[in-house]
Amino acid sequence: MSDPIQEGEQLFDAVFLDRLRTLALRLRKRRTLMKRGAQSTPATGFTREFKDYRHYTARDDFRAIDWRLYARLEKLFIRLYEEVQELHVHVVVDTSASMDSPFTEKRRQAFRFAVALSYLGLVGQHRVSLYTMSDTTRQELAPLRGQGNIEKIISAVSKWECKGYTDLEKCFTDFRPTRQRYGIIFVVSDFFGRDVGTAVEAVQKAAGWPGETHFVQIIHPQERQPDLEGEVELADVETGEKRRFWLTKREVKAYTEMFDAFTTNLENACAGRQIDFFQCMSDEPFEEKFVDMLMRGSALAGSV
Amino acid sequence: MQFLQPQWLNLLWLGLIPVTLYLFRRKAKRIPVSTLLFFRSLAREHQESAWLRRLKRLLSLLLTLLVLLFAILALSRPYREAGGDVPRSLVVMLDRSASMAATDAGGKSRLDVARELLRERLRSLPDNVITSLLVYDSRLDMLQSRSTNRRELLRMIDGVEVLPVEDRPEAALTAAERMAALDAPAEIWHVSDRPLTTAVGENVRYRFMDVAMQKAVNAGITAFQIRPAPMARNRYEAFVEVSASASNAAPANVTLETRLDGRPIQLRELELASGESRRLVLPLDGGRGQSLEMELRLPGDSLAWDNMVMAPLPEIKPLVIAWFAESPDPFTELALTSLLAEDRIQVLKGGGKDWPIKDKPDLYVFENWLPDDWPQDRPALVLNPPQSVGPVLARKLDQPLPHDTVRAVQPDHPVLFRVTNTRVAITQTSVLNVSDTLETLWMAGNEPVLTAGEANGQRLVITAFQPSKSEQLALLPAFPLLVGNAIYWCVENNASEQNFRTWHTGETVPVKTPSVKWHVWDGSAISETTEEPRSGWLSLDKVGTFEMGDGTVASSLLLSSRETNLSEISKVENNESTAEERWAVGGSWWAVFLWAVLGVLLLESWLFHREAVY
Repeated sequence: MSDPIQEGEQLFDAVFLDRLRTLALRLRKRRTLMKRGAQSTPATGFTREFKDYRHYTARDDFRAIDWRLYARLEKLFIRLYEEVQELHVHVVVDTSASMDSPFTEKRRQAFRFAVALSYLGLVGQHRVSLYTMSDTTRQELAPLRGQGNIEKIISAVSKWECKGYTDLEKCFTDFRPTRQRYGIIFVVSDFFGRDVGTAVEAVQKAAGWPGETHFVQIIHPQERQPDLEGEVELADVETGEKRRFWLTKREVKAYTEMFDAFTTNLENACAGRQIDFFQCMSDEPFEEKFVDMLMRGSALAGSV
Repeated sequence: MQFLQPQWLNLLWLGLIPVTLYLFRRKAKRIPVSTLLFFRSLAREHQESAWLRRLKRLLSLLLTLLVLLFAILALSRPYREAGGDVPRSLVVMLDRSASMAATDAGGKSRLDVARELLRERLRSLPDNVITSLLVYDSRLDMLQSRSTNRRELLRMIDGVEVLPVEDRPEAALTAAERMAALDAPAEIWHVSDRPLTTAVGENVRYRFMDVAMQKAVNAGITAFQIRPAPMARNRYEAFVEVSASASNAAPANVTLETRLDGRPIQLRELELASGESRRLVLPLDGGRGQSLEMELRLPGDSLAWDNMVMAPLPEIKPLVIAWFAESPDPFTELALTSLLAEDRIQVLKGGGKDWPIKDKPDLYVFENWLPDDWPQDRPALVLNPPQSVGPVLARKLDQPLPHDTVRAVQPDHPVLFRVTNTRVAITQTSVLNVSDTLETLWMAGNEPVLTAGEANGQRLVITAFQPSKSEQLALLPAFPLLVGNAIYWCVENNASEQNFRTWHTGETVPVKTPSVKWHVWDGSAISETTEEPRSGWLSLDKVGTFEMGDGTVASSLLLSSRETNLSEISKVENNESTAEERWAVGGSWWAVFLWAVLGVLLLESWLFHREAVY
């Protein structure tokens, strides 16, 4: 397991923060180019974004009158703006041993996702809560608001250690987000439970969460297609179980097919419960994948 | 446990190799993975848990060491002796004479029982014992000499066949004792249905394995001869002796069937007590060359070889008789003429002036005359010799001497067969001086008037009377019968009469033809076969008739009262031999270890390799 302090300095340095800011801008720009936002709401209010005109009535705020339009049309119209809702962003990060070993890239990618999502939430003036999950779900930080809290988030995430085993069902059972405010929930994990079907069963628990739920699966390419051949002794980093295998290309192919079937089943299960499922390889460029994930449709992306 | 080849035990160090490989084996690469979820879903033969793997490795090592150990032990040829004196060498004397073919109610012959007994005993014999196998009947054959090849010994024993030959174990015992003396301490196993009657040497341990039957029933033909009936055309006489085994529990009701060319012509029923023999003279009417068979039947008979005699009716070639006479007696001519009527005799008549004759006859008849140079190449009938010549010592009487009676000194002599001397009165015309080699058959008063015998291998019959001067001789059939018997007796060994001969099985006869045709009796049926004798000698090991290429036919028959008289198993000997056999409990273990190697290899294959990994 890597040293959390040193890792933190490497994961979330100043370059990374700059990239986050750039990311936020890019997101905003991309969103403006799109005809529809993912999170547009029929509600109107005082927002920065113009929405429409309406005839002035006596009850309306006179500051909203568009005087230029009056000059042209000699009629009173007020400008309507989109209302920004305050969201509660929950970021649940898998900190079981499988996220760090044998491929530390997964942990790095997952933590980047966590920090990036938290940053966007903070930038969008939302409340951000951070959770870790392994054998159970733990709230690591109380809900934070304001861009200035990103340092706290980075500091907290940097101290996280990936250890223990994954109990998806318990984690999803233990996680109970507040229903008072509309929330966006991001679960960043590899979703390797105790059995192959555990993840699909755990999705049922997630279906009842209030808000928009996103599953982000972080996997290493070798987890999908291991580069193994011959007699090997495999040790599960979470349970410590050891098994000897005699692997040939045929077995590796069968393994890959089973893995793909697992992710497909999970994706289908998520789709059936209106949970967004996004897969990201640990060796893929983080920024591109992050933007892609958000552009699939998220209130968080629309609030930037 | 001891080892025949202990040098192989030095290979036990090879066991260090699998142990070393086990201790310093290359371990499988340990690779940490984030999850075993999907690996577990692979086929079971590609995965196993660590503890099971360790156990399998250890088990595999143990099995490998066991295979090595058993294989090395098998190579070292271990054997174990439970106790007792194990001899250095063993000589097996196996009887293969006719009586060993006697079958019990289950159809097993004595030889079958002997084979089973030997196989069982030899199985427990240590491999280091030197063995020899000797089989005997009237001859003996050494099938294996001083070898440790047990498999070859068993194969030889399985290949032994019974022959219809009488046994003579004495020669075999002598040979066995000599073989045993070569590798002392030795043991002789005598496997037979009849114990020895001679003593065994003290230097060797002798064990008799009795394979006789519990209850034997047998009767057989123990003597046989056939000849043309004298003074009868196409008539023969068969002499048969029928004997019952002394082991028969009850009197045997036997049936003797006589067949000519397969057609039954006579049937005789006899009741024979245990051990009794009965002699029969059976008249037969038949033609020359017809095949005679006489078969004895007894319910429950154990041995079939002694139940059949076969012979062709003799084909008699006419005897050529050269009759030299001075003043031939008409009654002599009458007697010879009666034989002529039977086409059995060809008489060349002549006088002294015709001597010597160019063509050699079968018999000389000298009447009232003797040649100066006595012929020794043919038998002779001398009637009324006038002087002594050669082996004939006689002097003519000046005055013939009549005798009212004659006394038969040897009434059983063949020359006197059916010749009655009652009412015979003769007139003696010569005085005979009977030499040591001649026997007086008739005495008239104190003088021999009829003598017969052999002198220097030549058969002679000499009469000292003249039938024409003898009252009541010429008119009686005695003189012609006498002449006929004398002629046949003189020429009995003549080759012209030898176109039929009875031989005993076990004998060896000279043959001049490259192949011999047999009509063989195998105990149940008659079959034909051809044999090519070696080096001009034919070994008679079958019952039947054999025809040599030159037309000569002879019979080869068992005719043995020893073989017909079956033995019964001796209970006392059996118990003793069982007790003594207890030493042979150890035996050879190499086969056990080889099977163990195979078993361990199969077990290892089943445990570790039954599910192929590919």
